[in-house]
Amino acid sequence: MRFQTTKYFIKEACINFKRAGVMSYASIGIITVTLFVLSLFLLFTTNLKGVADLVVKRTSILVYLKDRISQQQIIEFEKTISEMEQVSEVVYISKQDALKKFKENLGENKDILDNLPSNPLPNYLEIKVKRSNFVWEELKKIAQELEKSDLVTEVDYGQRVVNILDKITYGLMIIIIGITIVLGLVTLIIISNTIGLGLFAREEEIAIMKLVGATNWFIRCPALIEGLLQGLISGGMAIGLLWLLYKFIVVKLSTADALFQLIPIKFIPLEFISGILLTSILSGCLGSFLSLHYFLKHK
Amino acid sequence: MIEFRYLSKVYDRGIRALNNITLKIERGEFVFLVGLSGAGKTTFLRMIYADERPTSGFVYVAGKDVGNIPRRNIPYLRRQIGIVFQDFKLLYSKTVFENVAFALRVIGTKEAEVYKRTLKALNIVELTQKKSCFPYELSGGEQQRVAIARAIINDPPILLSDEPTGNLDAQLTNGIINLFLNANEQGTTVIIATHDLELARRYGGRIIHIANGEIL
Ligand SMILES: Nc1ncnc2c1ncn2[C@@H]1O[C@H](COP(=O)(O)OP(=O)(O)O)[C@@H](O)[C@H]1O
Ligand SMILES: [Mg+2]
Repeated sequence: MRFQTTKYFIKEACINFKRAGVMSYASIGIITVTLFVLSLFLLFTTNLKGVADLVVKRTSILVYLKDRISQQQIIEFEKTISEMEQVSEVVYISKQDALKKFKENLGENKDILDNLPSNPLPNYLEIKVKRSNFVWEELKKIAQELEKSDLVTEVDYGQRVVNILDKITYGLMIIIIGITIVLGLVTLIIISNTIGLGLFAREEEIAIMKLVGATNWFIRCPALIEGLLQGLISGGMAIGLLWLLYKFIVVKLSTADALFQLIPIKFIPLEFISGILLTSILSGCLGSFLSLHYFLKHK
Repeated sequence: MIEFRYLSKVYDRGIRALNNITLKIERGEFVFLVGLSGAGKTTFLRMIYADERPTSGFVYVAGKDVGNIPRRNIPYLRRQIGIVFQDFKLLYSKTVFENVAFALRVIGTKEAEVYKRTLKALNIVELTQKKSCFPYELSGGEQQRVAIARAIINDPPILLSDEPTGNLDAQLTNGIINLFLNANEQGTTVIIATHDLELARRYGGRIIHIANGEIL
């Protein structure tokens, strides 16, 4: 296409956009709101995992050791573990220490343990994991690695909690992806209709343009650019609004309870931002295309 | 240049606007299509620029079977035909200049040339002063001249004009017909639809009488 014509199309798009006046702003408003709802879900999705990870962060890995292994073996095992990248601290707790700890936990009822013939508790290692970049997938990985050792009887890393969390977030993820897709489609339909409405007002102009020898593409191009423009502006505004909301939440949380302060609220990642912009641009163009389709094919 | 062969056009609800028309208009002819209101003049013209398709029969323009022209080729046909519509069909959101320039833009004319030729066309219809006006700021006669400027700007081989003198005084009418005569001298085939037989007689040229969709 000629540069000349492209320039004309862009100019046309801007003129049409301005001329539609209130209509343009109304559609941008509607599209922005729709996209904002969509982006809210994306923000929620982004942070769901973070919140779940927080719960797991309080867990450490307990590695129960077999009874008849030498002190030397334990020290070596401890060393290998502490050399693992994600591990921050390894504490060895002997049978005796374990029993003492257990008794302390029992408090007033500690007497019931006095009559034991032998110490039933195992030696174990308590592994603390580095807090940063810590997710339970890694926790699981470490635990599974340790389970392979023949010094180990059992590894406890809060499997039950982790498994439940796994299931919950997996389920939620699917629901959210579903909602996002539905919302995305709804967004597309709303945007198409909104932009289409603006074009309906130009039905007569379009008919005249065709009578004067304009091809369908000559009529389509400015409208597509206009749709793109509306989509882009709306997408940008939705993301801007989301950013403001995000900042607001972060500030609120920083003054809230200590527990909430730990929640690492993140903004939606670049992929989601591009996704929102892409959705808005695509629906803008599609809106123009589909509504023009009616005039261009049936007249 | 233009040929109708056994052409009939029946609109919805069975209105027979054209009935079995066969005629030929040669290249460079100056033709008045004369008939009362409702005789089928507008429909006759619409057949030529493929705004409607014949119900039966054929219409050929420059050898092309326009009645069966593929949709995507219609724009290219219309670029060969300058049309002055009865209701002008100006783009009401565009200035006079942009309305006239539009016919050049659709064929991708360079901007410098668009400017030059548009001014020239506006000069011919004596509307240079009003080039930045919008159509609603113009009188009926002025709007018509915008429509004419748009129709002639491409130097199309065919010019169609539907009731160009509808509500104009004699002097304006004369000016407008002279514009068409000038184009005709350059070799353009001109068809003017009018209900005014006196007008047609005044300027000479071929007169085609149409009544109830039939050529007399
Ligand atoms: N789009 C249309 N649909 C149905 N009937 C039409 C349409 N256009 C014209 N007609 C009818 O066709 C006949 C011829 O109309 P037209 O060609 O406009 O005549 P003229 O231009 O000579 O006044 C009239 O009876 C008119 O009512
Ligand atoms: Mg008519």
